[in-house]
Amino acid sequence: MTVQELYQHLVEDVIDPEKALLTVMTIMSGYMLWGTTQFDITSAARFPRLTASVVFIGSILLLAREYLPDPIEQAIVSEGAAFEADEEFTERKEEMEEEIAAEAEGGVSAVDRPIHDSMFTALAVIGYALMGYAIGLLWATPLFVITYARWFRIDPLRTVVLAVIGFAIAYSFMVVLNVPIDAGKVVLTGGAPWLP
Amino acid sequence: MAAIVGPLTEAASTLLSWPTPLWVVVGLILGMIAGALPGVGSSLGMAIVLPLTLPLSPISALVLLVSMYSGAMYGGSIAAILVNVPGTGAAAATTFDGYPMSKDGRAVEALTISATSSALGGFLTVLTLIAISPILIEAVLLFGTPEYFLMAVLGLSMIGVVARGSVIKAIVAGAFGMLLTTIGIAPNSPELRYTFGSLSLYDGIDFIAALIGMFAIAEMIKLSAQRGGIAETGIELGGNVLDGVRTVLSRPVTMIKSSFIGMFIGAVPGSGATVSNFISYGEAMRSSDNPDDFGSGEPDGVIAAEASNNGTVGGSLIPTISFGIPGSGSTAVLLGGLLMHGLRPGPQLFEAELATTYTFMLALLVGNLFILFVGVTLVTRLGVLTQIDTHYIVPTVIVLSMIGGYTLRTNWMDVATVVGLGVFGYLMVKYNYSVIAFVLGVVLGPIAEENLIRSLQLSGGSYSIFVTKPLSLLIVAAILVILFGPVVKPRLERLIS
Repeated sequence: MTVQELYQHLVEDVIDPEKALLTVMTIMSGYMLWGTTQFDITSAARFPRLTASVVFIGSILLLAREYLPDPIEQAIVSEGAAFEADEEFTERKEEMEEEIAAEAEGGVSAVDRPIHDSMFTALAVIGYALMGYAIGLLWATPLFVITYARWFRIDPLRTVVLAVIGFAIAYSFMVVLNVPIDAGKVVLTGGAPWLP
Repeated sequence: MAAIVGPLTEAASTLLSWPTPLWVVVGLILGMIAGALPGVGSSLGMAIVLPLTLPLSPISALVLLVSMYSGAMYGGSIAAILVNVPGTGAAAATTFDGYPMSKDGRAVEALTISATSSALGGFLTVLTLIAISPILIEAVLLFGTPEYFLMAVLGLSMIGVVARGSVIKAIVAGAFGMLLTTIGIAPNSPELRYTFGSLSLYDGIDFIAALIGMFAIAEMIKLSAQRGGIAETGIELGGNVLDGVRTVLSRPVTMIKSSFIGMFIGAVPGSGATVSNFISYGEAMRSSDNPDDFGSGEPDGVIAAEASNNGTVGGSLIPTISFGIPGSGSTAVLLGGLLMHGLRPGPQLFEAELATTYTFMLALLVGNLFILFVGVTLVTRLGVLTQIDTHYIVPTVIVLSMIGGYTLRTNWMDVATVVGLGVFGYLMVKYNYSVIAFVLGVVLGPIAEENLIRSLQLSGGSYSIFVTKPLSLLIVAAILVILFGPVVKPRLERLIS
């Protein structure tokens, strides 16, 4: 099994992202619901208890919907749009959305990479944030832009232009809004006092 | 009426004083660019500009944001007409007749129709908003703490009504948004909730960082999966500008009706221009003498879609400034701007800050004239925006979002919020969990909790405070109708038949 096959097996057969989303919501709401029992002031617990209960029950119902009797499953997935457009237009809109979705999902990657483009972008954003924390967002910005551009096979000249634009945006924020994005928490902790 | 003349005059004077006119123009241009760039749109554009407004005065910042909102509503039609890809959901119905007109060699006419109907629709509804503002002021001042709590609940109950897709998913999304707002110091008490001892969590999740994550990062993750640029088509910019203006002026009924449909739907929390442009289009087709021509380049179709989406702007301001309930994603960002600059929706905006409120209404009014000017004179040049490859847009927007997020409070928790909710928002969009419901939850959570606690403090813990006044009772009745109407109505109909 190649790495790509393993990846595809994982994201398509093993991990259901919707279930992962619901599991996160269930765990968080469950924890926050339990947390309300630890508060010293009763009035502070009222609202989080109410909202956490709604999320907890709702996520569990959605997670378990396939195992529930048909009428309950139908009630869970039933639609509730009051301002529904004319049926014909709803269909046309759906057709349009389907076309866009088909275009977007036609294969793993539009640029012939081993993982989905959206997955790469999500990971790149997380990496950008971690790198920004470590070395400062000012320095992480061109690294992120170059990584992104090369992944999507943008030619080297345009990649450099995009990286310079990214750095210029970051530098403008630093100078105009006076935010210390030249300093990291791991390296370059003192910032870059030599920058103009 | 006399009471509003003074604040209106003051607002007009502020609007004409430098640099406010500059921010109107900058906002409109940025909005048009954001609207014309497929995948960007008004809420995302406004979200990434929001942190940049920090050094501006509240009036300048709000004028910039509302002008962006208005400009983006029009800008969305440019890509819709030229390349059949709506820049925003608000221009989706514009593609039905706008693109066929372009293919017929009437692209300039279609773009001018769009600009003229957007400008007139926006102008008319904002004028109406200003005209009804004295009544609105009277109404808002009747609301006390219990009523504000009930209004927040009313706004939240709309989630189930306006949600497309599963109602349970929308309710879970909305409640999850509210739940996240409970992190930090509890309102009206010193209780620390879910902070894990971290100082950066004492103030809770930043509302604007959440908006940036949900709108900007989530959308960019989605956009990056789309294949290449969007504009390989070679539409010729044919047609006549004056024909476009004449076409709109010769169809006043469609234009006026669509504008007010947009305004009405805009006032409903959670619906917004994405819904209104389809409904207006459907209504224009239903009432047309030539319904079969729709979909093949009928100007009425473009007028209906475009007048309604700009009409939505005025309508969506009503619940936003009156009760802090955003009518759409863009007004949620606008609300973020209000709060960021120390302005609270509700009585404050209709008493001490009435002139500020009128300033941004007047900015919208003037902005619509600018849209007409740009639409008629420069629109063929704006078409170039639709040629930009999405892979140039994505990293640029991500950089702006991340650094913008950090700038809010120079707090890494905000960056984590941007990233976390960005990925979370992408999954929500992908699996049809309403992002608008989530945002409504984030916005209305603190308002609901604060007013709930304060009301109960006033009543000594008794919930009867929510049903003792006629106004509260009316809102409770509205909530019950909204929540149980869809269940009860078919049964009633069956009983009657």
